[in-house]
Order: sequence, then structure tokens, then C-alpha cells
Amino acid sequence: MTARSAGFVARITTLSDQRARLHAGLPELHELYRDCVRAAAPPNPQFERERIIAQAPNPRELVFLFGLLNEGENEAALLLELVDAVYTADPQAPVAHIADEAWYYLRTSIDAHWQHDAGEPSLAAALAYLFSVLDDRWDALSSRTPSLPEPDETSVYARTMLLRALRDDLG
Amino acid sequence: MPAAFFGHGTPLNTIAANRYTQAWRAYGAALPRPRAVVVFSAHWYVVGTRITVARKPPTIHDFNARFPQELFDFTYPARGDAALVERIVELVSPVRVERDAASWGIDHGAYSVLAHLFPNADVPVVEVSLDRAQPPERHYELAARLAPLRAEGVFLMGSGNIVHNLELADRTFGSEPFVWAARFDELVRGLLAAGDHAALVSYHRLGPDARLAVPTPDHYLPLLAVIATQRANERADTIVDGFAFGSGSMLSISLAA
Repeated sequence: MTARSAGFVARITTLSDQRARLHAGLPELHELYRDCVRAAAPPNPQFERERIIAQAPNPRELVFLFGLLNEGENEAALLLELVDAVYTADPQAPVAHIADEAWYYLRTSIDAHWQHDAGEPSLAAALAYLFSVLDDRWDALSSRTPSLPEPDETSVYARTMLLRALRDDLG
Repeated sequence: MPAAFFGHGTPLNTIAANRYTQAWRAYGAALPRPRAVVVFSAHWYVVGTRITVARKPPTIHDFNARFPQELFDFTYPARGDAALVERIVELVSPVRVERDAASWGIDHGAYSVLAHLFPNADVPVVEVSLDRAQPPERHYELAARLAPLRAEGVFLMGSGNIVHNLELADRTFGSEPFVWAARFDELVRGLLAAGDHAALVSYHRLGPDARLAVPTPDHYLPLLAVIATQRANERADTIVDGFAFGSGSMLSISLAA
């Protein structure tokens, strides 16, 4: 576990219940998503990377797109957000069914055959787990420089002729 | 009008001729002609209660690229039914229903069965989503409010699988079930025969077999939507049953007096 993950766990541990831990921890997880996108996206100097990060409806989906969360982890993370939204709308609303589902997705994201688990699902543990594995991946990603794809080798002449021909055809 | 739950199995059943699709076809042919179909599909599992309102709902190819092109080329051109949408909104009030004109249509949970029940796609179809935020009892309560539709000539169907665990699916099992899958399937049949809806709604209390059979609620909830409309004098008759790959129950049932 990285120092950042350990700090995250320590911070949410000070909170009194699952709901508070989830509500306080999710924004930190979302900031980690943004860090992961920054680390994973190729450094295209002509593109305003921060704009797409800021405008993404949910940076988790970009993290999933870059393959930094697997399908089960992504489902579990989505369900943690749902629990938080349900709790925010109605603190008395039932969420056990959502927690069960999130825990199942997390278990099977590790091992498809891990079907049974003796203990009750823990939303805070699920959150801390996701933070920890993602922070590990961010750490590994940060140590390398992502590269842009090689430019194609079509000549300036060929490109020019293509554009002129299309103009001739299309007006 | 009867109501029915279908174990839909693989999307390939859309274009397959096998004992399941033949049974669905025979069932559809014997049904009184409905004025419309309301579908609760396992594959529209989202946050909130939504309803399709498009005049011609698109065919949603909601499966991965490993399936054959023929399945991606398939369309189910049934119309929607705006009046039925408003009737449903009225019946479930005050539950908030989002009218969905663009994001969804008829998914494979629906058309893999509808293609055989009504092969001419000449019966209007309206899909109602399963609300991922709500527990099973809320799905049962919401669907119960739709029971009057059956007397209005609407065929209410659920499409899912009573046992559905893809992680444990094993092709070498063919049509044989895992022991736990067969036990849970049998347990559900018994509860259906006894009309014990409370136990069926609280399925997560039915022991370890239930945890394996219903690892996530999406494929089971359509069953609750159907039985919620069951009348006191109705039985749950088997349309067809069987297993796919050990961990998928193909049990389909019809409610009728």
C-alpha cells in the first residue's frame, strides 16, 4: 500500500460510520481518477487535457476507458457512488442490496470463482480497496512517459493531392 | 390476459430454433392477441424508473462483439404505445417515471423472446426499467400497481433468468445444471406453486444457493414484476424449463387461471 493509500485509510477510519466514510472518501477517489487520467493520457501538447478531465461527466469512466479499472472494479465504484447518492437523498433509504451487489462485483473482479464470503459487505473497505489498487496503478503509470502514436508516413504531396481531389469532387 | 416470465438465456435465442424458442413460439400462438406488451427486462437495469416512449423503439444490440453479425443485423420493428405509457405513469404514481425517448428501446432480453412470441412484431411494446437503487420489495410493489393492465388487454412479461451466474457458466455442462442451481430452481418452483411471494421477494434470505443463483438482482427481478400481478385464482404454469451451461435456468412460467 502506498503512503497516499495509507493516509486515505487513516483519514476515513477516523469517521464514525460507513455513510460518513463513503461520503468523505469518494471525492478523494474522484481526485485520484483525475490523477490517473493525467498519467495515462498521451502528452499531446496541442490538446487541453485538463479541459476534458474537467468536463467529463464522471472521470471514473475515463479511468475505465484507459483500462485502469477492470469491469468489476468499475461496477463496484459506480455502486458506491449510487449508495452515496441514495443516502444523500434519504438517510433512511435501504442500501444493503446495493452494497451486496458492489461487494459481489469487487470479489469477482479479483477472482471470478470467489462467490462466497462469510462476512457482511463493507462499503468503507470496498472504497479503500479501490483507492489502494488504483493508487498502485497510478504509481506504476507515473514512472513512465506515455507516448503519442507514431505519425503516419503519408507525404505532404499525397495529403495535398487528396484534399484537392476531394474539393474537386465535393465542391 | 396472462402474464409470463421468460428465462431468455443467450442472445442467440433471438435467431435460434431450439426447444426453448419453439415453446415460446407455441405459447405466443396460443395467447389471446394482446393490445400491447409491457416488458420488464433484466437488461434495462439503471438508476430510476424509466419507460420507453419512442413511436418506433430502436432495437438495442446490448451484447459484446463476439456474437455473430446476424444478431447485430436483427431488428424488432414493433411500435411503441404512447397511451399505454401515460396509463403506466398514472398507475405507478407517485413513483417518478422518466420518459425515455432516446437512450433505450427494445433490448435483447425483450426481443430474444418477443421475436418468437410475436414474430411479426405487430404488437406494440413498452419497456419499463428495473431501478438499480431500489430493493426487491419496491420492484414487487411497483409492478403490482400495473396489474389492472392485464384486464385491459396488455400482456405483461418479465425476461431474465431465475438462476443466472455467468462467472460460473461452464460450457461443458451443456444442458445439465450445477447441483446448487438445480436446488435453487426447484426451491423457486415450490415457492411459486405455494404462492409464497414474500419468500420469493426476500430471495437473499434463501441461503447459500440463492447467493450463487442470484449474485446480482438484475435477472431475478423481472420474475418479481410478473408474480406481483398474480391473482388469487391463478397458477404459475411452466412454459418450458431447462438449464444452460450449468448456471443458467431457462425456466419460463405463465400466470393464468
